[in-house]
Amino acid sequence: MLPFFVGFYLWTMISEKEFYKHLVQELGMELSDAERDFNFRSSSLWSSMLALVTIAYIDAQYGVLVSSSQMKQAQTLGDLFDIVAQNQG
Amino acid sequence: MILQSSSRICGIESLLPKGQALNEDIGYDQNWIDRIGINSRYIAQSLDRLDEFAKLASVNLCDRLSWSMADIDVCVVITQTPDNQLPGIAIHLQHLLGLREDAICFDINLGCSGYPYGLYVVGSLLEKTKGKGLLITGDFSSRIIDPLDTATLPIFSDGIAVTALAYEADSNMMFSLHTDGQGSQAIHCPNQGALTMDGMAVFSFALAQIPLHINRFVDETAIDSSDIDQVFLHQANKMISEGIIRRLDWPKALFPTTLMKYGNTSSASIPLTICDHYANAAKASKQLALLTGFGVGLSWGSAIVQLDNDMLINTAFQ
Repeated sequence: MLPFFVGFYLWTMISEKEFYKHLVQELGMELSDAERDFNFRSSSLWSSMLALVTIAYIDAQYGVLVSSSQMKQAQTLGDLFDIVAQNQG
Repeated sequence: MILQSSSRICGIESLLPKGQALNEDIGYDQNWIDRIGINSRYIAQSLDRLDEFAKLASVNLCDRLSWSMADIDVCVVITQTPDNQLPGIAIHLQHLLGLREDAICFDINLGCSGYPYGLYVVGSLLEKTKGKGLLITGDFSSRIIDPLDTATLPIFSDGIAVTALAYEADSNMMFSLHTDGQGSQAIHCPNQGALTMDGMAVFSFALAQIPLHINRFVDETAIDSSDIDQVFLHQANKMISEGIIRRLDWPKALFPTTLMKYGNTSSASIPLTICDHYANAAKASKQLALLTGFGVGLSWGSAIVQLDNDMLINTAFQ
């Protein structure tokens, strides 16, 4: 049986990967972009409307309301994941 | 704070311009249309006037109700897109409709939150006069939107609604009205300029504030939320409506929507949705309805009103 901290680490890794995968799918970006360091603002698809879609998606899927200032500061998918991880539950 | 007034909604006449624009024609694919929940938008022609729309809808409604213009004590217009800087549209309407000189006529500058505010203001004045009043709400938003602003353009639609109210001692409308001027830049339009909207700020405000506000309001009125038959939310966009409904966790069937048909018609969206809903649904003898508007200011407010089955409704196009 895995020690608790190892199991928790693996769960976090999987859910983090799932978070990136589902978010880029929702945003219409490439699956190859589903990485922690991907700067979503560099995408040619990025727009203020897509920012709204991101907030709405995270609220619907994770029950976390990303504030306007948090969204404006976030640069990478990892930044968004960290906001969700810090505010969930 | 719960506010109250003893008035009843006797009828609503909505009036939209015939001209239509489709979001699919400005590069929005079906995926985007599904996300914002809006395709058709109604656009006033350059020569259309808000006061003429208000006059036509008011005359039609008063005819249907067999009301004489001489009986109208109060006429309030809520708009952010008046035909002229001054005088206000309500003042012009006093002349256009032939209202008495001692009828109380004035404009209020409010947008998407305006409908519950207007019901309260007119209802409060009717408490004094014990008579009848007209509330006109709506905008020709296309006149203040930059056609190159692709985030705002696909949302807003032009239209107005006239609501006829009458004092009735047994009626009880309840209100909760709020303002937070810190958010004044979230939706902003300078003189002679174009409207700018910080969509993220408005979205976060709506989802954080409105469900909380509705729950508090209903709790304070001591009304059981299960007794509310319909909730008419301001029709902002689909992402905002769905977020509010999800956070409230009330049955989705309580929330009629007209976004796909009419878009966001500012302070006309709630009465327009009431007209649309009861034109298409069997109306029970008495319906308890929660009406919630939110937007520019930032400002927000709700009303709990009883909608009777003799309330006259109509939606027309000009």
